[in-house]
Amino acid sequence: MTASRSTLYAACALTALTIAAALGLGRVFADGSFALPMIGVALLPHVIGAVARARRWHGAVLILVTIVIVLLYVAWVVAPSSTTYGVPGAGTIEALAHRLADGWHVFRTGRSPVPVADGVLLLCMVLTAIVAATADALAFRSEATLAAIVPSLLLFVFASTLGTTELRTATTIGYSIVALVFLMLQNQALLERHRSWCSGRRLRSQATIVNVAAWVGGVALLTGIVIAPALPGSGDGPLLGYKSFGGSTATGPTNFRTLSPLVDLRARLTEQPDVELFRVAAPQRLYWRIAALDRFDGTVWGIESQARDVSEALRRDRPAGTVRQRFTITQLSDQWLPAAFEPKATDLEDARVVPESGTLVAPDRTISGLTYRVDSRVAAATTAEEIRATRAAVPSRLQSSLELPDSFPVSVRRTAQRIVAGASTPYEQAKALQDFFLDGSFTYDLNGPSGSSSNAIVNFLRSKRGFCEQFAGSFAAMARAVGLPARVAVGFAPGVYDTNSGAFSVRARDAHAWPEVWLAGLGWTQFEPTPAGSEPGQADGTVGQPATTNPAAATTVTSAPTSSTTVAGSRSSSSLRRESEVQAGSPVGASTGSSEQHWAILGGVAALALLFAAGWIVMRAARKIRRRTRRRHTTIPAHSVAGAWQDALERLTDAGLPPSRTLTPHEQASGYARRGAPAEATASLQDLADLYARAGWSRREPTDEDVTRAWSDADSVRDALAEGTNGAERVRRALKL
Amino acid sequence: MTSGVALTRRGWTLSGAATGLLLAGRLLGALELTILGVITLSLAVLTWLWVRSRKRVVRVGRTIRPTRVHVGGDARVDLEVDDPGSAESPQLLLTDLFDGGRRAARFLVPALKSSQRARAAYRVPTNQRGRYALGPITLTVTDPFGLARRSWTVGSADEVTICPRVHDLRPPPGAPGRLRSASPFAVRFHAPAVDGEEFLTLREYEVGDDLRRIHWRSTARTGELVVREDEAQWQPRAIVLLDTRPDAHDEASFEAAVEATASVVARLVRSVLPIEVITTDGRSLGVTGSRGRHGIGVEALIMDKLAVVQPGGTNSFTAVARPLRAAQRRGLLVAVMGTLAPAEHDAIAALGAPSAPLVLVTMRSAPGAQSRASAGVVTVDGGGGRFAAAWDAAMVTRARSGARARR
Repeated sequence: MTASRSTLYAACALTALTIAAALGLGRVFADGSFALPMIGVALLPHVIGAVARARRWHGAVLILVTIVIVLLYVAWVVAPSSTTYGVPGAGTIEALAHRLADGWHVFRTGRSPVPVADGVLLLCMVLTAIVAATADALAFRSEATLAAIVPSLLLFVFASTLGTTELRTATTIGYSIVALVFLMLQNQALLERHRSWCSGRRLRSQATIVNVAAWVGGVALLTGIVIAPALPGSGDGPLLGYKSFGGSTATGPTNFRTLSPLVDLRARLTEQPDVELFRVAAPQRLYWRIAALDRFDGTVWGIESQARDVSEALRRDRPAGTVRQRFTITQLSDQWLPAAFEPKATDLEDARVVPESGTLVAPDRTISGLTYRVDSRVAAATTAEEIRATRAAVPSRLQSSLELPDSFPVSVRRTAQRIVAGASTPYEQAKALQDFFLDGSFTYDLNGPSGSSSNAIVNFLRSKRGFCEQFAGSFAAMARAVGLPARVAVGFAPGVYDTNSGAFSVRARDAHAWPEVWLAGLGWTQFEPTPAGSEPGQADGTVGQPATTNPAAATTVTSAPTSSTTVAGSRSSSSLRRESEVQAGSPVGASTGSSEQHWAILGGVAALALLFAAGWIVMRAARKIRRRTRRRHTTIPAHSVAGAWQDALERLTDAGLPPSRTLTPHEQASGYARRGAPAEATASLQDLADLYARAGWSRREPTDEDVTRAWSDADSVRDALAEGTNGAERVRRALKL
Repeated sequence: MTSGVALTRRGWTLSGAATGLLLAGRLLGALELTILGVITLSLAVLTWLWVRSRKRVVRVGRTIRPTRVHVGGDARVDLEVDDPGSAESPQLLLTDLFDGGRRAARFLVPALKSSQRARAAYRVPTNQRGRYALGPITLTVTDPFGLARRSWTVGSADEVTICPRVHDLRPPPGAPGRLRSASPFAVRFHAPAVDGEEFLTLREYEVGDDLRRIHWRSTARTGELVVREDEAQWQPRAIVLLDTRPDAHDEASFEAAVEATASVVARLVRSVLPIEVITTDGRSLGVTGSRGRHGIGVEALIMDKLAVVQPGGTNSFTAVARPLRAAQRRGLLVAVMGTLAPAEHDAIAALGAPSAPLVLVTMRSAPGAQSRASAGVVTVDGGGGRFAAAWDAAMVTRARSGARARR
């Protein structure tokens, strides 16, 4: 086997390793349609790398060609419609940026398995291309065998921390086998590249190596499979709460940071909407809430709260005046436990609760099959006095429920302020906001853009199309903008009452989101800005409105539309004008609202690429400095003199005068005189060449004086070359690789 | 033979990475990472064990052809690895060190079955004169992943001598121009020896030697038959002096001087002229017998010494002058000198006489020094790598002026 053939085998193994890691992303995706595009993008950088090696391309050319071809490929796969006969145009970049933003959103907030959407696929393809290119360069340009495994390992870890637990052992074993094969082939390829073969039957060598590798690797794999799960603590949850909260046995407050359940709402509504998720026996129709999201960072609504054991925060016996619900979970694969707001007692043993929002969390990753009881205090009817009393100041503990990011669009703020202009109490302000969405100008549309970020709100207010996520998210953000503490609740509409079992059957199509506003005296109060209807994600309008059984309160409530009619009237009279006002309020936010985010994502990707490039340059420069320091400080005199010679040649190369490989040191030195090197540099180089030739060939070791002289020669070459150069040139030389 | 088992740098890195994976697996609660960590760790342990269980089953032989070569010549080392036992040997890494490890020849030995052999060869670098050590050979077995290795040091150390480069020169004055066959079986010319005559050297008796030439005193002392190597009264002899004063040379000029000396020696040996090579610090680098007897063997000895000669001894010119005056009485003198002050130059030139010609070769011209014509002195300015040309030109000039003088 020749060295080039063994390198080819190693390259094939490395390609297989990248593909194995890329296919490991299958645990993140809901189906297998991601596989083909991913295999393609994993192959490309390796093929380009092999061509570059054969053609001896410069590193910069390789990087450029890889970027161009990978971009072309992803454009054809993800955004073919944006290309003209396959040639990408200006729209392609924006289309890719748009999808990248979508993908980023899903990755930040989604829960696996996620559907194979263009955005997520694009993000994974970009990641895989970076992994493939980096691994290829590390393996065959830097000859760093173990380092070449690291990029694909990172991709594998990425998939295993985000993905489902399905097939985890199988994917790990598959990945390990390919990694071992690569390690073996690359080891052999490097040996053959740096050594010549003795004559003899090499085939036997290969057979022996493969045999031994199979045995040793096989036993190691078996050990891994058998021992790893038996290790203490291997079955436990993570010690670092990177996607969930700490172990359920822990007592006391636990930091609670999680992915927002708001995000997979659309997936829940559109994929298998008629699957029953749970049943609940309850005396009245209520919203079955799973979580309240009280943090808004401008991109997504989320939770960041302390979770406590239910035994600390909730009672076991039923308090008076509560509504009892008995839940039987059939197919809910989350940790969130549905319960009507506000839970006061439960028979759950080891669940945890976020007291501020009444969010119940199960200890296990999935709650399918669980049966439990919750007793909740449901908001009673509101009286006129209570509504008036809502004018009281917001307590300081709720300040966090008023927070909006600094980047929150001014136009949305102004729109919100205009809507509530006529309302006198916080209650009426919230009602005015609700009516704004329910005045008929907004259309419920599950196919609109998803998300509840600041930009999504701007788009939503402009397009007036969206589903409960946008209605609830926009309402809550706008409420905060006018000084009402607000949050987004996620859960389920009441569902269908089954008279036989006496319980509500809640299906995926009942998934819903609605806002909650804190009102003085009333506490957290549900509002329903989403228009009622029969589509998935819509409530039938029978629940969710603030309870107004009291006639006096009802009067007040019915009078609320009156006050909002004024607002609505002005809006309906000129909806076009409102749009222009929105634009005037925030020209950037409104007119380029969507592309602003895309460009931000593009900028992020570019920044990441720059960061990589900067890191690479810094690493190479650091390596250069280390190399120079080592040369200077070696203890072997002959090596030190040789180092001085190398140093001088390197500095000449940096100054644009590379040495000729075919010349002897003396010829080299006299050659530089003709090539226009500074006179002082040439004189020192002549002396240095003499010392170097002697150090290399004389039986006598160079003396200390020789070493000192060699380095003073090298230094004077450096100084002579540096003379007259400006700062920029010096930096260029220092960074020249 | 020594051996050692160790993890390679890759093996240590992988073990460290395994610890990291186990830790990360626990922190992130990812079983995948724990599995990878255990696999990695057990891989390091298993490869170490496998390598540790390997035994050396092969032999390595080394042949150097030739063991003596001139600078720029070809010398080749042949390595032969064979498996004399019944066990199959794994793929091995073979490293043969040259010059104490300054350079090394590296080979991959394929897996060998019983009585199979593998061969490899490499050229010895012959850019610089000297005596170089070859070996010892290191055999290394590594696991297929390159994580652990076991090395054995095998075989003996050998030497290869790289003699100075030899230029083809015109004969110096007083040396016959005809060439003698370079074969050691060349016909020998015997001059009748007179009893009590001075002899130049002693050597072992060979079949065919005249019994009257046996040197009985030495024979009695050594227990071997020793014959004396006579020097005919009428035959000129030559002395080659190499200037080894450290201050007289720089690195290049000393190398050139050694090269010039070697060339002159080779020329004189071919001219069937008995010669002696001495240095300014009083060392003798060898003497050839009368009329070139054993010239070839002694020439090789001289070349060996020239291969390793280094500057040394005194810097004083008086110390140089003494052996020169002694040498001058014995016939042709070739002095290969470094830097000579004008006074020193004159002092040496004064030694020349028509009956005992002197060739003064200077490898490094001192400022102000200029060759002065004097009877019986040929001056050759051999500096700057022009020695051979300068020598030949000087000899031609000398021959012409000699012819003119005769006319």
